[in-house]
Amino acid sequence: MYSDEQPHSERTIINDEKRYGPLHGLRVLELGGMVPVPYVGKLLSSFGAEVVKVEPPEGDPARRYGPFPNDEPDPEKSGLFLYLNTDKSSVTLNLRSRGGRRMLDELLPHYDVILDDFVPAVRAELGYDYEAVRRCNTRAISLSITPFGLTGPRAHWKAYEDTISAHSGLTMYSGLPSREPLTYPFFLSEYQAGVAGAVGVMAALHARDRGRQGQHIDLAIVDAIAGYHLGVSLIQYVFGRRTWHRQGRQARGGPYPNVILKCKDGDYRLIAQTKREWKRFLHLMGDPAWGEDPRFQDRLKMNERYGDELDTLVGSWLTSYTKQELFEMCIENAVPFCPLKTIPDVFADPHLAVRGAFVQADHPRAGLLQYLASPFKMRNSVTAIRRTAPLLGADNPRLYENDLGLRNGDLVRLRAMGVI
Amino acid sequence: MSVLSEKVTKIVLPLEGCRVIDFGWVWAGHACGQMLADLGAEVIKIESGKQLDPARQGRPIFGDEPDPDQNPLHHNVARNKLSVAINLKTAQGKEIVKRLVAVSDIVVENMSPHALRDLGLSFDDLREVKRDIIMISYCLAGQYGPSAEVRGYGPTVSSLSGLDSVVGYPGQPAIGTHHAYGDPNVGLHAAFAVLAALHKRDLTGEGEYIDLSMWEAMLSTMGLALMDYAMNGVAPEPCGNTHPFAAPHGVFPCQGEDEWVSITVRSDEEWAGLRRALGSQSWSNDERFADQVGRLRTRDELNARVADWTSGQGKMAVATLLQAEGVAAAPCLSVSDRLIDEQLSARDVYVFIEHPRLAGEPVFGSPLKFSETPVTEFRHAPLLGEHTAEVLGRVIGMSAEEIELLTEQGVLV
Repeated sequence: MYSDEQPHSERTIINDEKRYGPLHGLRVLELGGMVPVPYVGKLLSSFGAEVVKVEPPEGDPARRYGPFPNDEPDPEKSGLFLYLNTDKSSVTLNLRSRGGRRMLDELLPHYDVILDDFVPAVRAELGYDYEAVRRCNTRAISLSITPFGLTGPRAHWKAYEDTISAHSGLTMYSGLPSREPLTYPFFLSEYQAGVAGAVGVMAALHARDRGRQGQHIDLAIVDAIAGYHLGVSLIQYVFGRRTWHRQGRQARGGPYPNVILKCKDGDYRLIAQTKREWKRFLHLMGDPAWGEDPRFQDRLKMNERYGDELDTLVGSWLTSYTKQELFEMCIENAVPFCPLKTIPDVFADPHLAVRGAFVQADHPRAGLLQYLASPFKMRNSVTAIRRTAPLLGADNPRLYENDLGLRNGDLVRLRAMGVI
Repeated sequence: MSVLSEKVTKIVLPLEGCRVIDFGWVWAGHACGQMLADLGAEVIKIESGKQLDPARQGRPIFGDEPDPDQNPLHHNVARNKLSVAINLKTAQGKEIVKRLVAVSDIVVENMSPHALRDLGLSFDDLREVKRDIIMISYCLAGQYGPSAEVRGYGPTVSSLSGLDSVVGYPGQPAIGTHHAYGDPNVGLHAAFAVLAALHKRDLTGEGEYIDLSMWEAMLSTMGLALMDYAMNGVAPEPCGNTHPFAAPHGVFPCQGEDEWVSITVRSDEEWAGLRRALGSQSWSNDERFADQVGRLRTRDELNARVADWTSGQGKMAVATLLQAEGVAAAPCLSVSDRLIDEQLSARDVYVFIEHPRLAGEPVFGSPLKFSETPVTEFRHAPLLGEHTAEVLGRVIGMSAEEIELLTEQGVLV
């Protein structure tokens, strides 16, 4: 469908359902809000799976999170919700009502994958655990994503994203040494758990296709970060090697350079592991005399002892150039330094434009907006956005009739009873 | 279709029966294969002493002599893999790779664009030996585009994606990050994509080629920032640990050197919990703090008060006390904390394994806890070329003599 060289810049919404994604035919029930579980759902839906969000009657909390156009809250215009819930259907269901909980059991047999973010207290309250899922559907892959997991002495701990970041160890990694460390923004840790969960789901499906039944996957967001991201540091610590400590914009523990410096119109990151890269950069700067200074030959020592002085020398050259000028020079000369792009820079970036990284999509209430397109460019499948995020409960009639044989009169009654 | 000649009825690990040829190098390149290997796929790492992976270089864990089997990153992300030494610059080496691909399901690579094509090992080349091969390429900026030849390291992706521009203290210039966030991130995304493609292949017999850039995989995790700009033209600025609707909120100093606790109060209920934990401190009675709006308005003062209270206590004690009152709080764990933490230990976040160079060492385990096909085995990162003879003999039937000859000829090195 797309060759290597065809620019994706003209890609828009694909309305042709016949161009199937790799997961076409897979049915996914999404019982979770905000980021982790919905990101699993987004990955699966972007690959063609049918993903049904089961939202409480008041909606996924992400609908209240924002950002909103002109800062006017509207549950159908929350940026976080719109981004995470493309290509999904939405039904409402009050799981805390007996009728709602029963309807969930009736839905379960129709789905291959069931995603939830129910912490232990909620599981107890709803009478929801893997056994309950398995009784309804022995072939379902049940994935639970929670901050601390379902086991362990702190599984009952309350957590928001900063809590998770702190306990995973990630918070200690950034900031000035003289001040409090800085958390990563934007729910990054939650996305990591989401994509890890998606890998787990696909692996479990692989097993299911080879004679195994369904199973449960218990994933803690804290574990995903402490493990995949920060696991490496332990060997160094245990064997008495130097471990990372935050140092602001610089990193003096390895070879020079590893630092963020100012350039003409912003910030620039200089990081070079090899001597050859450093020499190419010196050449790019016109081979200044100070490059031959005997103090600046051992790159480990020069970083540790003369880092500030070198930053000043390099910095004075950098301030003559803009981020874009430097970036083009670096690419051309195979120097691995890069600009600290701002979000506006990202939207305007010419490389990302050619990659088709952004796509316009029209939402019935939020209007026409730019969305990040799926990052996966595939030869034989399409992973484009087919539909924008669903209105709350928009699929109640269609889905409840399809899965449970319910008619309009039933739905009216169920709504009146607070079940949906 | 599938390389499986018969259905395995009681597989033990979820990806049993799946074979991967892994050209990945540096952290990013290892991260995808690591996921697949942990989950039971046979991941054959193709590497060469002639062009040593930077992940095998650098300061050894022990001693001072360079040792390709003593890089701590490698010990973590190459575990469960098999190492086959093949010099890709030789014609015989390329042929051997093709013979391996012919009986494999997935190929993973993160070299610069067209590097494998120049070696005659592109997707189109490999498709000739395995019609339904699944291949993913995931270099920094992708296979095409004006910046496709960009060089960089893990933190480069954090800078190109806009993340670094937002990490900093309120009103201060950006500090940025030095953690290679983009590396495990792209590995996870790549593992998902190849397994999804494998799922499709099992149904349709069709292979797939996936071009994933680290840059766009990183952007995929930044939806919040992107949407605010898309909707309102608002570019986020460094805001420290503040939150638009939480107060008190942030990272607070505790007793000891560089000890911190994270505390988040978003609701009146949580504020009541914090007040109970504060106990006799009457400042919390102040009417100005009684509701969310008031707390947001007075956040600086509130945070200062909380910091005064936390400074005299250990971070774990504060967090435990607050959690008992229903407040989201956690100690900011350091690396030494993580090694002994009871929650992380209970979850086997880190496991101790044996490595020929080091006897026992801690590596990260598997956060994915499967009920039927648990991931509990972690075999040490392979020595360079450790499995050359075993794999080439078993998988493509090469004789020991042939292997010995090719080694002497500089092909299997």
